[in-house]
Amino acid sequence: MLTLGIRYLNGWAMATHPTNREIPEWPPHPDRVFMALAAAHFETDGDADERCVLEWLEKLTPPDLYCSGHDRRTTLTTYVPVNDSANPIKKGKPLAELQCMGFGRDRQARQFPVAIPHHDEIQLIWNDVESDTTTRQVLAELCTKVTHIGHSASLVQMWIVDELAQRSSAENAETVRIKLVPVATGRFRLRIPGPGRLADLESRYNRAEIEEYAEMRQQLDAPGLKLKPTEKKKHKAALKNRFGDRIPETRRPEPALWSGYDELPDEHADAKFASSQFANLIALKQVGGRRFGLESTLQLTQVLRATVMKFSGVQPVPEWLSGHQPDGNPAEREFGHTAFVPLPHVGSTHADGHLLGFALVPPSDVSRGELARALYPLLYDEESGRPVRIKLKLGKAGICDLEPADGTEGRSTLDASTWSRASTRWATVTPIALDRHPKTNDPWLDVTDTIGRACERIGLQKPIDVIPTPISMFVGAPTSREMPRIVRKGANGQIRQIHAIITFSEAVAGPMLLGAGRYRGYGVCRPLNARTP
Amino acid sequence: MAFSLKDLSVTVCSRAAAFRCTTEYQPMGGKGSAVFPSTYEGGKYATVGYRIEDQTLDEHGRPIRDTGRKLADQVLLDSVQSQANRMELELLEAWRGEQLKLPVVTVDFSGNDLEKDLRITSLEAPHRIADAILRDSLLDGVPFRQSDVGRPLDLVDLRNATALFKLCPTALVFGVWDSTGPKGGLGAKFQRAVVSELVGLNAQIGVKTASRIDPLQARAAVRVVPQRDGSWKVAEDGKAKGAVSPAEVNHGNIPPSLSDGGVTIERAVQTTVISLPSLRRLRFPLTPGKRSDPKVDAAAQTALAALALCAAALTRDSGCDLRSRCQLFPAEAIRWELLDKPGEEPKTINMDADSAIKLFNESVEAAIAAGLPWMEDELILTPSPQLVELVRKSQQLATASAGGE
Repeated sequence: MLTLGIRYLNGWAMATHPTNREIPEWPPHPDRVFMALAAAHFETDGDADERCVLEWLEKLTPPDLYCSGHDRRTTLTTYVPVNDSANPIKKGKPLAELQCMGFGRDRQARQFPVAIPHHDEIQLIWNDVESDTTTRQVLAELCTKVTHIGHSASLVQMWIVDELAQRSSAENAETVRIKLVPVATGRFRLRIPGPGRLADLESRYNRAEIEEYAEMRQQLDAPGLKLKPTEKKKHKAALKNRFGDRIPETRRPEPALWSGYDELPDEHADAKFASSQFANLIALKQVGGRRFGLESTLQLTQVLRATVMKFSGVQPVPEWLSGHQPDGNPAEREFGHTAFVPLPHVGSTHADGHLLGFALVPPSDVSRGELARALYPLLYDEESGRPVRIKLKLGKAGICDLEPADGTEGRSTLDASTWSRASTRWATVTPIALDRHPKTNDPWLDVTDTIGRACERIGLQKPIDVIPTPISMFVGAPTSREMPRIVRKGANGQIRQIHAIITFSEAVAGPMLLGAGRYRGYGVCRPLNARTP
Repeated sequence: MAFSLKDLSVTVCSRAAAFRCTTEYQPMGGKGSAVFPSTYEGGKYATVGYRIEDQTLDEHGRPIRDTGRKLADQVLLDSVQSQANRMELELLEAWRGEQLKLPVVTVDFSGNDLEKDLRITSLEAPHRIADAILRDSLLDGVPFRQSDVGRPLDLVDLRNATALFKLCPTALVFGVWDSTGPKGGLGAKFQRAVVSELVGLNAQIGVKTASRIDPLQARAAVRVVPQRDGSWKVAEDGKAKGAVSPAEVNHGNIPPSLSDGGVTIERAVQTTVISLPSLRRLRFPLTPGKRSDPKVDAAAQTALAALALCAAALTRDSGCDLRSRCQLFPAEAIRWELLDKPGEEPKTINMDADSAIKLFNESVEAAIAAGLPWMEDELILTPSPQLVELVRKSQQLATASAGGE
């Protein structure tokens, strides 16, 4: 086992997220940590042993991350004085005076996103790694040379954690920390190093060429230098021969490989609560196409399902995904099959119910490996790990482009915990399609009973109270009348549907999808009110 | 514990990570009085956890709804960049007061018949020794960066920081990037070794008022006509073309208005960190092109650590008057910690401004004794004629536009 400890000395981390320049990156991606180690190696003229250790480290499988949650400082624009010109006049007007200077300077807009972690220490953990004493010593020494991760103001201390200290750290932690582990279809996407990363960084930085060029130019341009014409010609020819017309430059590192990450199930805050047969949802955010409302749910989930079936990495498509046996009959799985649900903007003051994306909600008895085999090729580029665009074509209704959400969107709708955190009270966002038509003289009782049994059908306890209602408790969600009804197969007409508020005696965790339309986006429920039971 | 030069030298050469000072403050007006944080574009504050409270509890525990209070877990009172500027100015003041000897390069604009004479030092220029002002100035008639003194700056890097140590050691502490030098973007880039920030905790955004009561009681109905030369005259006819309210020429009352402004905080915390690995990676060869001597490197790194401690200690000692309506007072004694091995309790170090200055002066003497160059006399540069002309025009334009308001 190998564990790197990192402490943020100022209590905050200043690093821009690679996919969204307005938000900070937290936790630090393993590739960023690797780049910090590489920078320390190159900037201190590290030796061959250090290089070997880095080349060994880049080949390891992605580490687990042990870290706390964080808050974000509002990212505002700062105007930083430029240095390419001292001109205090711009477009005929004097620039605002800089304090202590007495005249102005042009400024450039910059942003410095900052994450405030709840605990200033994180760990990168490689569980199944064997390392000899020399490797650990060299790596430990290199760690002491790392000054910052991200912006130069983001000062850190880095070290190799011994196992005893690691256990003690976990046991004595006052702040809740979570362990993120690599999961192919995980909710978060982090950059990771890979074989060749060190060489790639070195080549991009291009120090040797730039220094060589600067030295050759010095021989030509140094002030006060009086060269004979033949000498000047010789130096010019040497420069031209070496570089042509090119001026060598340094290129910024590109994000190379990505890996999915997610919390360990037994460490999830809601793991101790009873939960439904569904596993946590895989959110897909809309990134292109027209805006759709919840009323288009059936149409969209149908196309989404067809797309997933077509591009699934496992063919023929397994039962847990398609809901059908090989002979075409409905699957008879205890935990059901994958649901395709809408993720709408509801529940806040100005919400209007428009769709921000969709979610795939697989059954909880499917292993991570099976999930990855079937869904990874649909969602991510197999080589780089970058998300791929999923195009839903709806004919005249338009198109809807989706990409896997990566946890940086800042939209609670796309956050799985919005739909699954434990709560005693839940309410519907899309109406529940009733499994059976009310038959008794007391339709109210019939409906509440039907909904209660729908909860049991997905593995939950029977609720202590069910209140059917024609409207949703969430602002922006359509009423049960406004949502198109599901049509039964055969000639049995449309299925009745109703919104509901459902209360349990103890908190239960979601996702909660109820009723006959639960695999198609109906009966989607969300915790009502308090975050914790 | 007291900290001697030897202690500092041993620490710098060890594997210790940083010196850190965390100080709690209260507003000078007392706990609960408002302070005004730094504002950003749009007059916004940099907050963490900003929210509008919809409910709170009264003293009897009963809920009060729709309070509308604007709260934040944290609000930035002084940024990293601003704290660095303050530290440089404190060093400048200490240097002017002859408390310490520091290499300073000054560009002197006097004698050029400007509306306002200026002297800008390397501690005030935005990009320090690499600033465009110094680049566009002359030493004995020669452009500074082409002079015998300035040319070595073209070749500085992490492995060869001697010229910077001689001319502008503060650049090695607060960071510098010579982006317009011969290596362009790869030019001398030294990261900062000091990071300091001040935040207010558990803040409530307040309300500020703006108004003016005119002692002359000029009435809005008495119109005036602005003139081209910036003056004005009373309008004969209040409805004449161009006639405006006296408020347009800064007379008359301004009715009170309310807007968000200022915060009340539970407390403020200033955290200053001096990174030792940042200094340890610097090398100081005494002969260009040759390898450096580790003992010389250690002497230079120790002096830089002492300079950083000095800057931070002086800043704390001078009081925390950040801006108008934002003055704070330490609520506890100022203490430094040495962050050494992870998991170990940090050592506490006493370091007030006087001991920091003493330590710094001793470290400079030791560095000089080790053979390091240290520019003791102020280096005066003259601005180039083009730079003088730019500043002259800028001042004229500023005067003209102020007169036209």
